[in-house]
Amino acid sequence: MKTMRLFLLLASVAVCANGQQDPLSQHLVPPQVIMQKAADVGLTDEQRDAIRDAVENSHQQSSEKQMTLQAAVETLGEILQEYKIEEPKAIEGLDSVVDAERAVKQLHLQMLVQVNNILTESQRNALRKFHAIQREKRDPKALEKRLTAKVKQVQKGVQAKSQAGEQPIEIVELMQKFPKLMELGKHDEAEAVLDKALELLGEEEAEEEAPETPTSFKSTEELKSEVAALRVEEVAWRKIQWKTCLLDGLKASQEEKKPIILWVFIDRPVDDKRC
Amino acid sequence: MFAGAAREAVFSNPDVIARIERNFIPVALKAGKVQSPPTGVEGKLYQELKRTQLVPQGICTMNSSGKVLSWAVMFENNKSVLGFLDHVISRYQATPDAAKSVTAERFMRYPAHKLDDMANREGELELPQTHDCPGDLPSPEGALLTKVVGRALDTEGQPISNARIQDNYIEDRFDIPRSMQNALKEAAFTAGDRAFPVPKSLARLLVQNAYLGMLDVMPIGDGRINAETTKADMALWAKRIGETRLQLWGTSDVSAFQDENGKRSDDRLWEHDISLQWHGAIEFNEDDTSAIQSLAIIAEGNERLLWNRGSSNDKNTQDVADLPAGRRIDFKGSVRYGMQSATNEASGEIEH
Repeated sequence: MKTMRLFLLLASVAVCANGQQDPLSQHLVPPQVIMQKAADVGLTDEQRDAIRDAVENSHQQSSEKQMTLQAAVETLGEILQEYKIEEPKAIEGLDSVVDAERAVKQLHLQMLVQVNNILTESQRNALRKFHAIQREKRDPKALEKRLTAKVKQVQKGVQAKSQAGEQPIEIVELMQKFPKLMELGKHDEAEAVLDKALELLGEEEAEEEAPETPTSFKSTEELKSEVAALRVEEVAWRKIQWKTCLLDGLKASQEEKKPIILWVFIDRPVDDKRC
Repeated sequence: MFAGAAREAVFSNPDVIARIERNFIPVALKAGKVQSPPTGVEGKLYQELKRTQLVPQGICTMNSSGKVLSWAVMFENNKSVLGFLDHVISRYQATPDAAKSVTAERFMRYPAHKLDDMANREGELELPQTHDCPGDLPSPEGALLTKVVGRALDTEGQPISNARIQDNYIEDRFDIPRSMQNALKEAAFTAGDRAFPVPKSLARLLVQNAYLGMLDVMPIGDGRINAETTKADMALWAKRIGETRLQLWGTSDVSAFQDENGKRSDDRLWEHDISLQWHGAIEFNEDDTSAIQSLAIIAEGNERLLWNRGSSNDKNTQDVADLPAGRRIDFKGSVRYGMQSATNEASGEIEH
């Protein structure tokens, strides 16, 4: 339980958010929020496509403008590092930085306006409300209050389990991620960790309303044969018999006098696994 | 994405398959092992791969002494893949072992985009007579190995026959840890004859594995795969039928898209929405252990998957020319998944 106490202490220390919210952001709904609630507001495929086009178009131009800004900042830096700074050159350099910054901000605003104009009035109103709730959720003070309450709730739940003689190892392991995520400013992910921990703690107590029980069930054999029917035996990518041991491969290479071809990829190299 | 794209565009090409079967020894390796090599002789070989590689994933060739001949990450077109294999064969014929020194060639895109060669390590490694291969990981003790098959369906509700691409057909496997099996049995016996919610961790695990596409588009993969999960509604229920048998049913509705990290890291753009109806059967061992004896589940519904809309729009570019980013995917339709506990082919027993 020492580990548990330590993480809770760290977690309490970590629950301190900062940052200011942009006052203009309440008027325009960002594309990620629109996509998040796409189904709820009945976004059509055409609207999705148009939004994606606007975002992609902006993204392509943004890289170029960011590079211009970076170059302007570097140039200004070079001017300012001289022993005798030439005032007109410095002012000119600053103008270039401000112009480049304005171009970046203008592009971002342009994209937001384009994306918001794709929405119908009712969609935009609904999304604004949702966005306002999200903004409130991310408000530093509200976040701190909420996370502190959840940390305490987890602490209480863990104590109750410990008193009942259980070892909530899964929760302890999960909660070890929390302080780091807070430290990195990943508040949403940190809150998701707390929610998951609470979910694990409250699993047995969940009192959901049971849906109607199906009137008939398939037998295990019936289900098994349905699963088997889905599998395709002859798939092209299964034809190559990949070895998974480099030394075995090398031995075969020496015996058969053939070069080795290595397919280096993430995850487990077997023939019935997603990749 | 690389692995899925390479499997589909390179290693499913009949000409490439024939050439590899005839002229090469194929070995598949985990990128993680290359990045963190094991000890011993095998570790030294992995270190060489790490030292000479351009990016963590790719296609590499070696001679019989473990000297790197050529790396390739992409190819200009399908013909270039065969050209690469021919090129490697001729290099192998000139330097089949450590008798003559050979440099490691490194192609970002074969043949035009070549980076500087690197010298191979001198000397020959002595292969051990016996060894433990670090290539594969065993399942955790008591875990139930479960296999998944997923199919996209046509307008008639029949599985689409092209099983070469993962947006039509997937096979996968996952482990149900013993702790989840215990929790399910405990919940079942506490509920008695009443229906009860499947423990959330198990419900999540099942739902998490029912999706088409490659590893990068798991809808409730969260930060691990740089996904922003926007919906994760899961209502899976179960009821005891007899002493050791459970019936399972319910619904799931999940969706996600790339998070900011994913967008920033490689400019990926994707969306994934899946709504499924579940039904299945789970049987426990008759003895007092809570291990699952068998599991068979079908999930059916609708799915929408978009990947890299806008990429590879150039019709003149073949899929092998952009393996790391992968081709564009735009799927919307009906789907069916099957999950079943794996049985040991030799003994016929459940694989735990």
